[in-house]
Amino acid sequence: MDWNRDKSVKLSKFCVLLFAALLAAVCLFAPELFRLLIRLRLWDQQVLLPLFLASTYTVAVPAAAALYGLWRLLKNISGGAVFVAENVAYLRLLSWCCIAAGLVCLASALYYMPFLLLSAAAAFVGLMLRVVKNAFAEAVNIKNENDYTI
Amino acid sequence: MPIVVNIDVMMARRKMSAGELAERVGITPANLSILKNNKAKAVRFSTLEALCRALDCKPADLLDYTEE
Repeated sequence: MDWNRDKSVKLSKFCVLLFAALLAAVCLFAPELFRLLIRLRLWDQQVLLPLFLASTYTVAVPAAAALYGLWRLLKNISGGAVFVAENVAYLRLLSWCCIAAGLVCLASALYYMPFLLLSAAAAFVGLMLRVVKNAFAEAVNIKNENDYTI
Repeated sequence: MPIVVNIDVMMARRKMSAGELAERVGITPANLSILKNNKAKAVRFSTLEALCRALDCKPADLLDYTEE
């Protein structure tokens, strides 16, 4: 593995860890963060706080699963196993996690409209990952055929 | 796959070991094993030519088609 590729994968792994830490921090401090937001916007805390918390903790589940999938994917890539069926499965997991997060955000848009933007963004990323997954699955087939051409 | 590779039959007829055939053809014993065990997805013409030369046979002696 050359210097740039090695460093690039390490940087990606670092970013995944950073996002994992961010997710943990958001889960830990979500009540305080949303209380502050609600107080600043002068909204009704009794109604909105439980809804915001429910949305946050529900989205945290697919987010954590996506981070796990990314970590495993990067581990395989750094180990030289790129076009393998396992990576296709991880890409599928990532795609479904994005779509799940998009659905939760869509439901959350019922009480806070800006979640609609997040929902569209998450669904679009999920769609892109799905296309990448399809390309990866085809690449795995081509690699297998190439490996077994004598 | 309905295409069957009969290398082992020809090897037995020519009394040639797998190692010797792999060396003559210029492929690794592992790849020869893939061919012998019918796990290959494709065979290059150059490999087929080398196999025919090493085993002194025709492609039809090495490959067979059977209905699945």
